[in-house]
Amino acid sequence: MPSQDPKMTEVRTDAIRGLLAETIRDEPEFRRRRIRRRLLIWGGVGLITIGGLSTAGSVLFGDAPLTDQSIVQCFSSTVPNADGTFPGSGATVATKDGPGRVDDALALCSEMWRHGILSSGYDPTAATYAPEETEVPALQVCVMRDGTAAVVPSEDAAICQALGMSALAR
Amino acid sequence: MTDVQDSDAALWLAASSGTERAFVTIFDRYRSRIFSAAFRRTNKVSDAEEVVAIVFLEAWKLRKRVRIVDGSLLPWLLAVTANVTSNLSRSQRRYERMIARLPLPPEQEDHTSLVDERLDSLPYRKAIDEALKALSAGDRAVVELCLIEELPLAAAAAALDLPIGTVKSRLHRARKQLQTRLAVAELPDNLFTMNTAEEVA
Repeated sequence: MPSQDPKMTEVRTDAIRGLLAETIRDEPEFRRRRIRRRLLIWGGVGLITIGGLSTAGSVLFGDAPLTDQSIVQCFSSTVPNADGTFPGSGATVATKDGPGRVDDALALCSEMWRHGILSSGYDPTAATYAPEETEVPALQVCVMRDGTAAVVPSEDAAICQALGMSALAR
Repeated sequence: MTDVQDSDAALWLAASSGTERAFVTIFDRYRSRIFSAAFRRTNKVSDAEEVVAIVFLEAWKLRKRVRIVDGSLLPWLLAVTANVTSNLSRSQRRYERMIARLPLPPEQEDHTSLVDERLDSLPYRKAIDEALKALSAGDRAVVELCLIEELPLAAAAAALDLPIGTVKSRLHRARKQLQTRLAVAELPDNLFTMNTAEEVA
């Protein structure tokens, strides 16, 4: 008569759940793999800086050609923070030259979106990170005043001007 | 309807690749069933909870040998539960360090009366328990999976990693032993003659 059986106590259920999660987290095989994956992401894609993007002044004024292709700013929103910066991540790319640089910037930010790094729920300080497939929004490539690319989530082709940047010359 | 991504196989693949959330989902999916099976054997909530923890720790440790039977992890988990409960002290010793990290059981309502009630409502329970304990570990595991958990023979065979013929012969032998041991208890004729669909077929 299962209905008469007592239930697991909540406090020990939670403790067991935590114990199991910790056991998996501490598994040496996966810890090593996590470190390798992080190194791969950081080494291959470049240094990714999460948090407030301190580009307020340079982003919002004037037009400029895409002259600095060594860094890409991936905005997670077109709504600026209180201090005028845009939320998102800055990323450097591994190679400086070669064709398809703009495509690289777009691909790079698309990859970050896909892995959830630009999603609102992403916690850069979390001990573990399990990449999840996240839908990539429509993205526009703009050129900031300092000549670097900024990839902005918007379907509006005029978003660059609206944000005080140049659209990328094709 | 279970989504493919939520299937045991998909979750286990994710879990065994180190995804904590997938493992926790499996834990939450089957912990009540494992607890019930453990409680039936231990009659003690705190012991049954520790069995649940041990079963899932064992599942993690043996993750490369886990068998998914008909798309479900349950038969294999129940087989592990049977093994753990039949060697509870040894299992508790093996995972002593982990179990020590669990909070002490809270002041619980006394389940003795519940157990007594169960025993009263199942007058043959005590005799059956003793007869089961007298079986060999292998026979007992088969009896527990096929007769108590009511798994199909094929599922029990897959969970125990035995040929189905071996399961049938163990079941047959166990039934005979149980009937002999329980003859004095005047059990209902059909108690251990329940047949699974496969056997009837």
